[in-house]
Amino acid sequence: MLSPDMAFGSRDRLLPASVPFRFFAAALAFHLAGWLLLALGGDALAGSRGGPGTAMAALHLFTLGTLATTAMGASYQLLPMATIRPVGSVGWARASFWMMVPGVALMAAGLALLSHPLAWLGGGLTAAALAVFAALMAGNLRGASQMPAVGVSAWAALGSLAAMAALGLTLLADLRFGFLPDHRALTGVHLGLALFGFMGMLVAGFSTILIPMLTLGQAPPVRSGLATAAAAGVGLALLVAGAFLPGRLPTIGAALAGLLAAALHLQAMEAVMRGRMRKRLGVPFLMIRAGWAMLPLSLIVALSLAAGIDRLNAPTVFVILAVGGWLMTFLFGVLQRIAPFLASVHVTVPGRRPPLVSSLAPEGPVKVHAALHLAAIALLVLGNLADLEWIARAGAVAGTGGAVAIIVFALQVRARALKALHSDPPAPRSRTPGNVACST
Amino acid sequence: MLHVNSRIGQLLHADHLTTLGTLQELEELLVRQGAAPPDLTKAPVRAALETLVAVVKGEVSRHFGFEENHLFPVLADAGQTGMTMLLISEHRAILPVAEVAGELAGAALAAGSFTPEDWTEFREAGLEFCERELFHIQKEEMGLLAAVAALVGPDEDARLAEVFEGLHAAV
Repeated sequence: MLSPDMAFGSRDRLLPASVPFRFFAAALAFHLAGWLLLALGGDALAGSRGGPGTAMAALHLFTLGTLATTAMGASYQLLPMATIRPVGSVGWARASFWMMVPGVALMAAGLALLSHPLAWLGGGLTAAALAVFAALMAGNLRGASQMPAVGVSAWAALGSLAAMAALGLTLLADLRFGFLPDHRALTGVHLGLALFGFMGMLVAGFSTILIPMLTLGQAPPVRSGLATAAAAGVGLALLVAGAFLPGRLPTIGAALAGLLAAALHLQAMEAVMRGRMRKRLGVPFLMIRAGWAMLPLSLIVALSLAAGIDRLNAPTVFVILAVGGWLMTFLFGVLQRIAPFLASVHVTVPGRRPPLVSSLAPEGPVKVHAALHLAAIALLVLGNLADLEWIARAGAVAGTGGAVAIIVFALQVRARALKALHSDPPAPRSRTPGNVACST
Repeated sequence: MLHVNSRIGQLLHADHLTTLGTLQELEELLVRQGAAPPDLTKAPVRAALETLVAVVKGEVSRHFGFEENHLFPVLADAGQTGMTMLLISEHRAILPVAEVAGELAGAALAAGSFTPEDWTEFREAGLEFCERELFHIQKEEMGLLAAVAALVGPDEDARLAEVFEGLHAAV
């Protein structure tokens, strides 16, 4: 617990530090577990075609355990700051954590060990956690009339989340009872809703606030955000329709609409970057830019699959590019920037000099993580394109190293923040002692 | 930066842009020069330091003063006490380093050069000022201006804008 919460009023929008940071800590643990499972698990990594097993368990540790858990912590902290409305219930936010963490762990264990009861119990707990999260965010978004583009994206994300979770539970039941006519097609819809609906829309919406804030750039025009959300919405609707209609056209249309949404979003982000006031952005923005680059790549592979071109282990390459390449790379870039920033906010106590953000952010682990993470994605893609298991397995080992490095980063941020909180207040820097009052 | 509709939000945002431009120039100078004091006969270096002195004397202290004495009480009344306390704590950390940097820059401009010791002190204070002020502006652009847009009514907005413009005119 970092925060001197008594420093802030009860109606304040800043949550206790323990709320967002517990989600981030769990996400880092799931991230490491996912890479370890890929590195040591029994499933082949080159050409994996889905189905229960260690690879599927690792995928859910990345999507639900890492991406969704981080999204929950970040949303609880950041959305109220942008909407000027506090989270409806801090207690329920905490409760969602205590459902999410065991839920994801049990579900991953169930998938890895091929245990239906474990997977179902975990899936149920995870769905309950996500329902609480969705309800809290929906309550907050109802007052966000000032940010129409963010609001539309967030509502679309919550709608996708509900559909994705319902479909996920249905797919789990189908593994046991086998009642679905086309399990594979609905798995594709579940994956698409999770990656491009829930996470993608959340990323697109929050990016219009976060990226301008972090770069000191101008926020994109509202119409650009609305156009992105509209194109993505059409793509998601076509994706769902594709599972029930004959022929390839709806799914091809879904991939094309997704590419259009990605182009609009990336164009808006590029405009923010071009006009930014902060020029030196460091390693985190290399990660963010790399993540952006892999979004259209993943959709191009999705388009080829929708068109029936299934070569070079394209389904696995698609999942690697979308989950590891786009979402995880982008998310860790953002996390590397906002974790020290949030830590500095939480250890600021009235009457004491706040620590410099740079003093809380160790550079070494960030560089190691970036290098190993990007190497992991490249090796996994290469291993699948070449259909060579040892190359893909080397990628999983590199990913494990990167996961350790980002945990070291987080532990150092925590240690430095606690040291700043408990150290004696330094004398204010001044050549004329006492001259610290603001003039009017 | 979010799109701001209120007048006082727009005025504060314009101040932020002015300060950011100065910080950008200062940071580039400090990083480019490293440990070696710059040649103050060069016009761009003198211009950057003169702008810094003016910004510290005028923009920063007046901006902080306006916020603490006029804007924050309005927001605190609306329940935003945590945010205003956080921003005041940051003001207390920024202003001393800004003043040290401004004083050293002013003295060097008057003397025609930095002594190596003064340059070292100026560089430390300048880099700290840049970092603290940049993160402070980030928070204000995301949190404060959003709060102003949501919580300050049209009449209060007009009154605050008038006070702010009066402070500018008085300099």
